[in-house]
Amino acid sequence: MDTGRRHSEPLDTTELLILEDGRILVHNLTPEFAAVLRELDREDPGMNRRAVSAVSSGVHKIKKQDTP
Amino acid sequence: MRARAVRAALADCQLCVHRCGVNRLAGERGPCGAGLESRFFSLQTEVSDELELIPTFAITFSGCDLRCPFCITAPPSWQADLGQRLSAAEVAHRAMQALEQGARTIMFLGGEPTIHLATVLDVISLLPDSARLIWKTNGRCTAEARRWLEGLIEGWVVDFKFGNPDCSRRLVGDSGYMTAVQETLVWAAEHSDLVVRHLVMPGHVACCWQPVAAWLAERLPGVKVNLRTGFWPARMMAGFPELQRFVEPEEAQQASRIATQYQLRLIS
Repeated sequence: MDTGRRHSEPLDTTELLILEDGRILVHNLTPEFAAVLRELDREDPGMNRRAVSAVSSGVHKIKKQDTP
Repeated sequence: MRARAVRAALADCQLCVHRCGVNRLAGERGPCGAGLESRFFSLQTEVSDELELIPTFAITFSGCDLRCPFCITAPPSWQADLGQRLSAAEVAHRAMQALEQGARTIMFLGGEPTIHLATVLDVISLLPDSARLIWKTNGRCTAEARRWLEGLIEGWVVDFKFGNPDCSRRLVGDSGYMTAVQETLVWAAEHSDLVVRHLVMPGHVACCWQPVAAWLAERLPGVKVNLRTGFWPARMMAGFPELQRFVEPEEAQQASRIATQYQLRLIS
């Protein structure tokens, strides 16, 4: 993703761990990655609220592929 | 003004409850390893914190006064010499950019931000008064450190990790942990909006979460509590066999029942 940053600056980072039983643990969740995870389960209220929060605040701009 | 005073006080550092008294101005380092200069582990907008705080621009300092064996950002976040070297002006600039782009809050965290208090105050002095500032801490700051922050921070997010002296001594070598954190929690509840976090650790529901819940119910009734069950086994846990696994769903349910039993005000 082009964040418009200089190459010397580190990219934003989210760490993700998927467990055998299907649980997903996330650390340092960025708005962009919240939008990705929401696509895995649109019924997940927790992730949905985080993704929506990012979008409604304007931090994460909805792209065409984010829309249903 | 405060930043200058805090920086001068680094000649006898008393910011955290180690009270090591090292002269950071002369290059001495205490248990946290922090010197005069602060470094930053990351700066980015995140949405993984409490819903009422997100999106937050997270300013993450390198270095910590604790060595929790389950820390998932260690060892890098323990080492105060690692990370980006940025001026307070650059950090503040990026924070203001994030606010303009929709971030709701600015969060100082680490590692542990307390050990970088002078830099934090430098950054705060460059931010607009309207910025909502959040202090995410392990709660082991001294009364002096808290006083330096008084009136500047809108919300404190305090990790209350251990519920008894035996576990805190065994896991982080600090039998006085609970007293220190409890003092901070009482102060923060009086001086700001407060969220208490507890990360449920495998095998520590009864010994740690239950007494934490009981204390919160008795001393801070109605305080916002974020009960986290996404324990993520880290790499430094040799010697702590119970921590080398994830929290079982049954343990998470037990933790939730305890919260209900004590009528805690859970938030997510």
